[in-house]
Amino acid sequence: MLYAHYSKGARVMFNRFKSFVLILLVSIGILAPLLAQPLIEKNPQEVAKLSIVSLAPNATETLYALGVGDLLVGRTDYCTYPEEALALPSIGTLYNPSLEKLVSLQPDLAISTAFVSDELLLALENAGIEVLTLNLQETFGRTYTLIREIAQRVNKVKEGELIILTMQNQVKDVVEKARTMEKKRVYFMVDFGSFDGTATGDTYISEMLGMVGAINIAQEATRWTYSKELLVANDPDLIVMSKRWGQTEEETLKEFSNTKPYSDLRATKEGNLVFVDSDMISRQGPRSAAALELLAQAVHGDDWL
Amino acid sequence: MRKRLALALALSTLLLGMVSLTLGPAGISLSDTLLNLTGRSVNASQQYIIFQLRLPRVLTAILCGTILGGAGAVFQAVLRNPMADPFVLGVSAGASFGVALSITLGYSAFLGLPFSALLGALATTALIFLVGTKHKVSQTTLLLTGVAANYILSAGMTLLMFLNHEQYDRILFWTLGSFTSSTWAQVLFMVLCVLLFIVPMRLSHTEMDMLLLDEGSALAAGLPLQKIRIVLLLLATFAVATCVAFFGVIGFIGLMAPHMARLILGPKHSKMLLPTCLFGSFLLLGSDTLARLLLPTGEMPVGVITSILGAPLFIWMLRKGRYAYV
Amino acid sequence: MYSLEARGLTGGYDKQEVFNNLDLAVPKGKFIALTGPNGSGKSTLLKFFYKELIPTKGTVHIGGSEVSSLTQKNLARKLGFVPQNGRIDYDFSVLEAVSMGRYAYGGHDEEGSIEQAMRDCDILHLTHKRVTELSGGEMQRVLLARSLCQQGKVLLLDEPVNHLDVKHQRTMMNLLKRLAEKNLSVICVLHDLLLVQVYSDETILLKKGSVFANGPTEEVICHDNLKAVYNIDAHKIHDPALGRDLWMPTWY
Repeated sequence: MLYAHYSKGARVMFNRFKSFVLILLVSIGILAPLLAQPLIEKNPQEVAKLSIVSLAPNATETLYALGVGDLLVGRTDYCTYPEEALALPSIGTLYNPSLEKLVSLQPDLAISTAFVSDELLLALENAGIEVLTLNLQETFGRTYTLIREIAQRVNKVKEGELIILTMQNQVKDVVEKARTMEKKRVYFMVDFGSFDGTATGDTYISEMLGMVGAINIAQEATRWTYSKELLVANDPDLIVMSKRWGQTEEETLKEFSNTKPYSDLRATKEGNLVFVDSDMISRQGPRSAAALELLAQAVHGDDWL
Repeated sequence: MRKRLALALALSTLLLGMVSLTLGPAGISLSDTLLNLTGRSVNASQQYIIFQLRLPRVLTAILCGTILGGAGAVFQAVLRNPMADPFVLGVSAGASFGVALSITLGYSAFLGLPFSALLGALATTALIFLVGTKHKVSQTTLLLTGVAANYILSAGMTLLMFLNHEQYDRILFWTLGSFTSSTWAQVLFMVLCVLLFIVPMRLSHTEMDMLLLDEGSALAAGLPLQKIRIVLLLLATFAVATCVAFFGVIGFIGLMAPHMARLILGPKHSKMLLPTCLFGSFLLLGSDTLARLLLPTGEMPVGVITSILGAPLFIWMLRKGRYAYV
Repeated sequence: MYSLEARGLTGGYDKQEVFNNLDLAVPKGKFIALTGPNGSGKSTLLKFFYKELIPTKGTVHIGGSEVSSLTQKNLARKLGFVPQNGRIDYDFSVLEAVSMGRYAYGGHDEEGSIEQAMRDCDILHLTHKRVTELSGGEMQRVLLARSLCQQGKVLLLDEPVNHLDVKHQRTMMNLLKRLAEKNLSVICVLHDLLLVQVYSDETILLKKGSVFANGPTEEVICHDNLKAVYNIDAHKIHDPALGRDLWMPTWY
């Protein structure tokens, strides 16, 4: 043995050192797997048990698109897509949700938008329900941010990125194709009558109009508010319509075409009124790229096909 | 004094109307406005805006103000109450409720909001009359029934709005009053209303004077009290219901205009009735003009302006006026 | 023959019928006092004559015509009425207030009845004053002038001097007496037994909706009647100025 010629004291110390290292190695060997666990991130096993109530239709759509629709235990009255969502119990409207109903579903997480009242947020906090608030996204690009935020929370990051990539490609195609089209002057009608509402320049719908190669005549206006005078003065080529709540498209069309001064507009007289699915356009989520395509179709009509 | 006041008011209203015609989101300068009015403009959209959007609006504001002012005088005389206004017997609450119901139940496109409002207003007033009178029209009973109806219908409307959040804005907007959607058809209708209401009212000026006496004196001096009360109330209610149906609830004009006329000209109706109407027109036109100016985008509801303008103006006049009521 | 008549008059207010089958005939051209305890129906009776109340049964007549057959305006030409409280809350001028009495004649006044009435009531000097600035006594005279220019033959008054001081009471009552002497039938609801005795020719004494006594005042106002109707004692006193005896309630 090499250390035979060392003193007896040195030999004892070396043995003690050997023991110490041995014990250390064994401890590390045992503890290491445990320490390697990240305390914050849940393992896939735990996410599968997460129960979610969606307080926003676009959140609902996103969850289904990410493949975790089965985590949902509740929705709002407005969450109407996809069809499977309709089977879920509804907790009411966004403005007047039933807190009791919500709590009785025993969710771990509630996903909401900024429309939810402070009262409700407080109540959810008190009930021990985690809330993920998606901030109001007023540009089209932020749609992707929204999808990403949700994907991260439910640990479906890869799936989320895939959706986003697909959408981005579709959008790119639409925008490129739109460049070849004739630019039309468009009015996006949100409401008419005693109040004139439109997608003003500060909205993401206005951005979408630009992307499909349309000129939004309400570009200069803000806060979704317009006026009959400006509408008459700016004389759009085409009016994109959404049906009024509680009416069919035919009914809205009839009312619009028969009310002054809308009935006197050139676009009305020439029949350049076209409807779009306002649900798809107004919900920033996985269908937004398709919505953009639909908008392009609506604006350019036969030229697009 | 009266002739000068009437003339001053008429001219002011005309002037205000001209100013109002130049105002609006689609900025049209004064010179362009004049060009358009005399038919020498080349710009078709400007022509349209001035003749189809702004001019009807100015005219309906003037006509509506006339009706509201006159109705205010009628209600104050018939109910012998200086605090009465045209909405005290349920016209506004009924109309608002009618609109809320119609929008909520979804037949607003079929009936049209004005007709729903009219139905609501007339039904409510009819009901109040039936409930509030037994053998004779008693002012106190009528007033109290009107108050009760106002409360119930307001509550009903708030409930409808609350349960029906998507339509909340639409209903609320209507009740706050606006001349935005004025059309020439409405102008003609209002002219008819004014003629059918104001002319008989003005002709009944002596009767209205005598309504201010105690019941015994009025009857003994030959006034067919019940008949006169009912006829005047019906005429006024119908005219006001039409206003409300088209333009929503516009408060304070009916209360203010008669008092303003009385404070300057005295209580005799032969002297103050037409100035009351002129005051009403001027005030309402002014309020509507301001409603369009004050916000950078969109408009304020007219009813808000009339109250904001009216209250301090009224207090000032009371203090300066010939006497105080209370 | 009679200024006012009631035949089988039945009626009153919704909750309470005041009269049941009342018969009454009031002679012309005299100063008649209508008196009785509270709730006996004095003011209510008058209301049937200017049509504030309608009989449920029976009829009332004025100057020979049945009241229900007359239009309100025609009725106004036959009578005048002075209410107990005719306060006007708006500042009409005295002239405007009096002129309202000509409503039944379409506002015309060819005979100058307005001026005459105002002269009779001694309010010409108040012509342009506002009614809101008048004293109680002046206001009563204005109301009287208004009812006079209706040029009716019958004048009805409901406690016209209740709230006036003694000077104005005297002025008003003397005025009424003078009018009665000019052949106007004056029927005046009065509370004050003294005024009844001093001024009226005849008295109608009501008790609980029935005519207890009706006739010359000296006969109607007597100890037994007062005891029966008011349950008070009364004693006679002599008034040298009037030269006759009056019944005075015994206060203690």
